[in-house]
Parts: sequence; C-alpha cells; structure tokens
Amino acid sequence: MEAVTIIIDGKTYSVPREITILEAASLNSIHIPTLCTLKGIDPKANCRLCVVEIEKSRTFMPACATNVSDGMVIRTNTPSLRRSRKHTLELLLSRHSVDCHHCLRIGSSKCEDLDPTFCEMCFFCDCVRDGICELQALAREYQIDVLPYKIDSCRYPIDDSTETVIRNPNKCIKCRRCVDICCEVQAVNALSVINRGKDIQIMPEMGKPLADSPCVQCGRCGQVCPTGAIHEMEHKDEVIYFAHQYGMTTIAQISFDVLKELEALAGLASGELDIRVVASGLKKIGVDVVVSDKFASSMAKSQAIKSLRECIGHTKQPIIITSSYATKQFINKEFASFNNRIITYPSPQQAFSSYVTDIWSQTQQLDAANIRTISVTATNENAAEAARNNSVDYVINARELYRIFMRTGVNLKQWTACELDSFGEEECEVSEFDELLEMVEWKIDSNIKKFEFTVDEKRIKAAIGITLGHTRILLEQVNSNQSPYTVIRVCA
Amino acid sequence: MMQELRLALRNAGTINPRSIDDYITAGGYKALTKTHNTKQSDLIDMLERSGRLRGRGGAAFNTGLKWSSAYQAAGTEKYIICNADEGEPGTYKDRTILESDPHTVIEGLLIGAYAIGASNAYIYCRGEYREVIRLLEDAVSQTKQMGYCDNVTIQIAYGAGSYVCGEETALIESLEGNRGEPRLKPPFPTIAGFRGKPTVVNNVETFAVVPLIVEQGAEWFQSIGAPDYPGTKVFSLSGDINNKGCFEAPTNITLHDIVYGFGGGISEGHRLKAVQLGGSSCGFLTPDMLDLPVDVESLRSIGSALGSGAVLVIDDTHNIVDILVGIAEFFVHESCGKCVPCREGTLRVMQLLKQLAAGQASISVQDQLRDLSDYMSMSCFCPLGQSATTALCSALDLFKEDFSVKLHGQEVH
Amino acid sequence: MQTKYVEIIDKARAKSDSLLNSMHALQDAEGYLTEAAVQALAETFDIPVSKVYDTASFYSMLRFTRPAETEIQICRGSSCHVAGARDVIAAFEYILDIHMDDTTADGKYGLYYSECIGRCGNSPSILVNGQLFTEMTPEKVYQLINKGGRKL
Repeated sequence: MEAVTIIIDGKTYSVPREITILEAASLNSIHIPTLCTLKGIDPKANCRLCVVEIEKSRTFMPACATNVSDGMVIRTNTPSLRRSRKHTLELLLSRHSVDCHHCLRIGSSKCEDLDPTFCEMCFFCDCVRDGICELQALAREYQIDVLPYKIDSCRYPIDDSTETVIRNPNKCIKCRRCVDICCEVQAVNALSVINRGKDIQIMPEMGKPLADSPCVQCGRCGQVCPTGAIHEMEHKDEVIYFAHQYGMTTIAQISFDVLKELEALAGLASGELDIRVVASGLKKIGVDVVVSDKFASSMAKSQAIKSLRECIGHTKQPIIITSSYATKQFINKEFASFNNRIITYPSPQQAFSSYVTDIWSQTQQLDAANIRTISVTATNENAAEAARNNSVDYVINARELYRIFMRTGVNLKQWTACELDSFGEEECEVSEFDELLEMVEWKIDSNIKKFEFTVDEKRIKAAIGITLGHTRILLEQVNSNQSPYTVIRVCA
Repeated sequence: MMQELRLALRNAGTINPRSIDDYITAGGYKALTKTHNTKQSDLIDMLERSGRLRGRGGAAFNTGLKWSSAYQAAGTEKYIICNADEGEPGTYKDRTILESDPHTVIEGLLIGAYAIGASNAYIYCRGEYREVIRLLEDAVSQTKQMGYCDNVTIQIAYGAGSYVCGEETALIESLEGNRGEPRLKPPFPTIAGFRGKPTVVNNVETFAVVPLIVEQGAEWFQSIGAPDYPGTKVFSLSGDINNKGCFEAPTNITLHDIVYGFGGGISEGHRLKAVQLGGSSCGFLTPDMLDLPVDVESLRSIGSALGSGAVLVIDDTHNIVDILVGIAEFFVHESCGKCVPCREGTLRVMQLLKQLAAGQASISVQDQLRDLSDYMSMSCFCPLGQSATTALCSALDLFKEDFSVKLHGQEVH
Repeated sequence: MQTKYVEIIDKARAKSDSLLNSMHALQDAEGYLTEAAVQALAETFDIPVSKVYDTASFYSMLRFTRPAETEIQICRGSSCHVAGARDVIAAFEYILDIHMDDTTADGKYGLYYSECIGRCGNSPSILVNGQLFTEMTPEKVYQLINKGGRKL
C-alpha cells in the first residue's frame, strides 16, 4: 500500500495511506488516550479524549476518526490538548459514581459507611473495576484531583435482573461500546441509547429490566465496557468463603483462554504466563483441587462427535450444533422454530460439573453436597447457565480472578507454579470433526468460519458462527432455505 | 436608509400561497422550464463562479460548489434536501417564506434536483410548523398535478423537536430514521450523504432565490449587496424594537438601518444595549458597531457572524446574564448528547450561569466559564457544541458590568 | 400487529418513507406512542423494538406517556424572554399552582417549556395543545385559563 509522510510531535514518519491518526500513532508507539474507541468497530469520536491538534485545523480533531494525509502536521500532547482531556475527565467523573479506592480524594467512598468493628479492610466492597478501569487509569494519568463541579450523586437503580449481567448506570460514561457490540456485532439489540443530551442513558427499551429484553447474557458488553457500568456478577465472596470453609471441597477448572487476558491485566508478555502459576494462585486462596478444562472439554467433545455421527446423513440438514448457553437462549428468543432441531452438547462447565458430581465425588468418597465447583474462563457465555443451577456453582472470568489475586496478594509476575491436578487422560480421539469443534476465539471483526471436511468419504460444507451476528445470518439463511451448509456450529 | 429589496419574499402578500396558478401568473416555474434546456454543468457553473450564492442557513457555504461536488460524485442515485428545520432562536424567516410563497422554494428545489441529477427530493420541515407542513404538502401536490415534477419525487418529512437536526448531517441521520446526531465529516454529504449517496442540503431561503438567479442571471445577482456575499438576506426582527417582523434587504445593509430603519428604533425611554445577530449561537454587537454592514465577511473581520439573520434587539432594561441563562438552558435541552464536551459542558455552563444569575456564584465563576468555553469551542464534535458558548464569551468581553452586578447580588434597575 | 396501526402507518408511508412521519401519525392518533404502536413500527419498518425507542426518545415532540388534557408550552427562546416570557410563566404558575415541567394533580393542565417555535415577531408565544397564542401577557393568561374553565 502507498505510504504518506506525516509529522507527529516534530518527528517525521512514513505511514500507510488511509489509516487514522490513532492507528499511525499506535504503529509508532505514540500514546494517545482513548475511551470510546473499540478495535473492529467504526470510530464514534464521542469521548473526545483522543483529540489532537492538526495544523490549519480550526478545532481539535479526533485521532480515532481522522485519516492521515500527506504532509499532515500533528501534535498529540500540547498543554492545550492536555487541558482539554483533563476537562473531559473532570466532567465525566463529576457524574460518575466514584467508589474506587485509588481516588479517595475525589468523591464518595464507602469507607465512611464501614463499621470498623466488622470491617476486614479487604477492599472488596469497592468498584468491580478498581485497578482495572480505563476511566480510573486516565484519571491517574491526567492527575485528576478535586473536581471543580457539583458532584451529581448518581442514584439510578442497579439492574441485576439477569443475575449474570449487571448494569450500573451510575458508572456509565455513554461511550456506547456496549450498544455497538450488542447491536452491530451480536445482533441481539437488547441495549440502546435512550433520550438526549444530559439525560442520555444506555438501557434496554426505556428502562425495562435486562431480563425482560432480548438479552441472552452473552457477556460481550461487559467485556468491552471501559468502566464498571456493565459487568458480570461477581462470586468472589462465595468462592473465598467456601475455599476457606473446613469440610467444604472446592474444585476449580481453568480454561487456557484465561491466560491471554490475565497476561494483559498483569502486564506480562504474551505467552509468559504459565497455567500452573494460576493454579498455584488459586490454591493459595484456598481452592483444594485445580484442573485444566482439557478433560471436561474432551468429554464434551466426545459427546458432540457421537451426536454428529448419528445425525449426519440422517437428520434434517443443515445440522445446527452448539454448546453455548447464550446461543441456546438466542435461538429460543429469535429462532424458536429451531428449538427442536438443534443439537446440543455439554459446555465445558456442564461436563466438568457432572463429572465431579457423578464420578469424582464417588472416587474421592466425598458428599457432593460438600463440593463447590468453580469454572475459571475468559468467556461469559455460559455464566447464566451456572446461575440457573445447570452447571458449575460459580463461573469466574479472568477479570474477576485477577481482582481476587490483587486483593489476596497473588502477584502473577512472581508466583511459583505448582502442578495441576488431573482427572486422568485428557486427550480426546482425533476425529473428522476436530475443526468443527475446536475452540474459536471471539473477535469483534471476525468472519464466519467456512470450511469443508470429509465424513465417510463425502465432502461436508460447514460453517462456524463465532458471534451472535454470524449466528443470526447463518440461521436466517436456513430459514429462507438458502443455506449451503450441511453442518453449522453456532457460538455467542 | 437602505430600501427593502424582496427577492425570496418577492411574492409575499401579493399572491395566494395556496394557489399555484397565482405563482405561475407571477412568473413562476419559468426558470425551471429554462433549466431543462440548460446543461447541468452550465447551470452549476453559473451559480458557483458568477453568482456565488452562499447558503442562507448560517454556514454561508458556496451553493454552486456544493451542487458541483454532488453533480460530479460517482453514482446515479442522488438526493437533494431542503432544510426547513428552522430552529435557531429568533429566526422565523423560513416560515415566513414558506407561508407566503412555498412554490418558489419548490421550484428552487426542483432546479437543484435537475442540476445534480437527483430524482428524489425531501423537504425536512420542523415538526412544530404544522400549518407549514400542510401548506407544503398541498403545494407539492399542485406542482405534481401541473407536471413540473415528473422526474423528481418530493416528500415532506417532519422533524420532531430537535434543533440539532438543522445541522445537515444530523438532518440526514434523522431522515434515515435515526437519532439526529451529527456525523463525522469527511465523508461530506455531497459525496456520501443520505443512504450513503451524494446529497445536497440547502436552506429554504437559498432555494427561494435560485429561480430568480436562473431567470435574471448571475451578473444581476452579483450586483446586489456585498461583493463576497451577494444578493439579499431575509432578517427576522424581534426583541425590544418597535417593528418586529421579517424584511429583506441587500446583504451590505448596516446594523443601524436594520435597528433604526426597518426596526423603527427602540421603545420610548429606553436605550439600545445590544443586538444579537444570528441567533443564540452567535455573539452580541454593541451600539458602537451600528455602522457595520452585516455581510458575512465584514462580520467575520470583527469576530462575529450573520448566522441565520435573526436580529434580537436588547435594550437597557435587561441584564445580559439573564439572557445567557436562557441560551444556556436552550443548549442543554438541544445537545444531542453524543460527545462529552457538549453533553456535560452545556450542563455545567448552565448551572454556573444560574448560580451567577441568582447571585450565588463564586468570584472565579467567570474564569471557569471562559475555561469551559475554550474547551467546548475546540473539542466538541459539531458546530452546536462549538458555538454554544459564543454568546457567553462575547458577553464576558462586552458586558463586564452586568456580570459584576450579578456577582454582587444586585438587580439592574 | 393491530389493524388500526397498520392503517395509520400505511397511510403515512404512502406519503413519505420517513420513520418520524409514521411516528407522528401514530402519536396524533392516540396522544402518545403506546407499546403496541412501537411494536407495530418495529415490524413495519423491520427494525428492532430497541431501535424504535432509541430513535423516538431522542425527539422532544414524541412521547411515551399520555399528555395532560391541556398541554401548555411556553417558549423560552431569547426573543420571548426579552419580550416578557417570565411574566407569562409566573402567571401560569400562579394560576395553576404548579411549577414549570409539572402537571396539575387532576391531570388537566401540564406546564412545559418549549424551545423557540419561530414566532419571535409576535413574542411572547405559547402553544396550547399545539395551538398558537402570541403576544401573551399575564392578562391574556387569565383570560385563557378562565375560558378553559379553571376556577380562580
């Protein structure tokens, strides 16, 4: 691709044509703060944190949404720009429920409400994103101190109707990342922007509880929210409680997909974190047994293979298969006519839970009632399943685990690894369905995975819908008899 | 004193606005017929180079350039939209033009449609102008019946109470069935606008004079008014003035002629304090600026603007701060909420001004307001936010005493 | 989808494909946008229900709750302010015994601000159930309310 020459902060750079200033800066390790930008989604330029000065431009321009041009002269960090960003942050924070302990000087802090007799100063009562909040990080970077405005004591009710995805409008900065994900990527359309101006809120349909909306608790909104405005229900209190209770056995299953996110949170290089370090951390907080999810995934995969072998060539094509709870909910709400024909196989959480309860507890001679199962996983699509007592007791995502480690003194950079426990042979047989059933990484700008494989010497056309948006497209194709696939796997 | 010169309002009061026959008798639709025998590029060329018709909505962009950009843009699906979402406080010229002569606007719209090659046109009219909407729907029907829009479908789209939809990209968003939130530019609407297609958005008054320019020629139009902003402007007078109402004059009319000539001066016993030209998003002019011609370039040279041509005359019975509170409340209500500086900034400006007006502000409030103004004028997403504090800044410079009076808790009189 | 909504929307769409036009038509019929009306819009325009609320809630003329029997909107544009809107507001507040942005207990009168309605040449202006009254004074306020049957 053709290159253009631009000058950023006095230095000359050659960058590809048709990229944004933000992308050009990123390519050259120049830091420009952002809040509403989301890779894979068209820039909205709402937050105005990424404002830069461009020679000959009358106003500041958003780096995320302004393309480079040959000869462009850009400044990213002048005093005027820093003042502007500080204003933006001060304005946001003065209508934000500030209860993170790193900013005690700013506003309310729950410390004042605590009874010193009973408080253990564990700091778990603070904001769910304390230490890992994008707004907080920027507030520190721009040294926000006393806010010059009357603090708006946010009193919107918290929506915990789904028991999994929690909405706290008092922390919302209206960046609209969640709406973009819910509507453009997941095609669920549960969240939207309501009202105008200062009264804008992000909510389902004029304030309906999330449980009454099309929400299927896929959890992707919480993944992208920069603050604690929308997040997964935490179970840290229960996990730590049961981990420390005598007579209670806690057994955790770690999914390898957690490592990548933990590395990002802990500031480790990609591939640097060993799963055995995580296991060791869990044991430190009192979890008795820690296994990887390979065993349960293999078990689940075996069941899937069995079902597929029975169905291919015998049942209505295309075959639609899923293990994702959120996807099952999505199909139930949007494509109810498919309910009777989708093939389900257990999620890793379900497989783990039933193995522990039915088999492992027997071999260990434990009363199943005194066992608590925990699944540590990066994706939240099966959290609702657990909440409804259909799989493990608690699903913990990477962020929550990191928060637990932060509070309990587990420093992932320095922790000593310990061996994982094991249920036994973890490898599943190699099968013709391996590509269909392998783990897929959810990415905002991913495409439907289309491929072919051979079953009984016949070429099978298959597709994997990675996002719910893909799922919708694939199922609508089936609905209109235009699907070219023999088997479709759908995820959330 | 300069005389009134009616171009956009040429038929006001002399024809029945509900009768297309009246309009035709008065010379209407001749220009449209003439354009059908003119090459599109020649038509646009005339407007762009010779006539230099600048948009009358407030932005004053060269109309011919806009049409040229859309005409040359790739694609055969193009749109032309008349912006009748008149929402700038103090402005009622578009309503006056539409109520007195809807057909001149429709004719201008059809000429524009021909020029750029659009077969679909919209008139986006603010929802509060119910009667105007009905009038327009009937007028378009008549135009259809007479066969003047055989190649163009004109729809009347209703606004629903949003000032920001007067901004062209927000208008386009609204027309597409979305929230009226402005879009990023580039891409400019003339390249990718309504439904992603080349789109021209022009103001009512702009379209209203197009038939005349086509008929009488570019040189004629160029000879009227200021050289860089030729033609006439329709002014909407309001406030502490003896004659309120719309009038139309060449663009180089002075403020003095507006206030004391057409306006008939200030009520007995009062003095002129300020004139807010261009609506709530513009600054104030003081009595010492009365000899200024009000064309766009002259005003720009003193850091001011013509805007929509609203003329609000304020006498000495008012404290400017009280007027600023109203303006601040307006922007809080009309901010679309998309970007942080406008959504949050307008709110804080209003709170501070209210405190000030009630005599409860701290001594640093003026600095805080200036700070917020600087911030918003540089960082807001669109012109609404960028100009929300223009009046405030202007007042801080020109009416220090009014602020002082409020700070110390006294009434003006 | 109820037939009455289909008829209203079809009639509006025959004239213009603009979503706002259909929203206005539905609101004109029932005074506000009901849940069923929203559902009908979603189905006809093939957009999610959340999107209908998203769009409609942006515009101050569109509403989701029944209006008061008599909705009084007082323009607070600068021109009306300069011409004495404050006195008109004070008069209404006094007679109806409510503040701005409020409705009387009997649901009969609602008092709201309106942004500039483009009647600056005849200010102060107000709208009563969409009907325009110009050059208002406190005296005219009394006359208006009396005519509407409010006992002083």
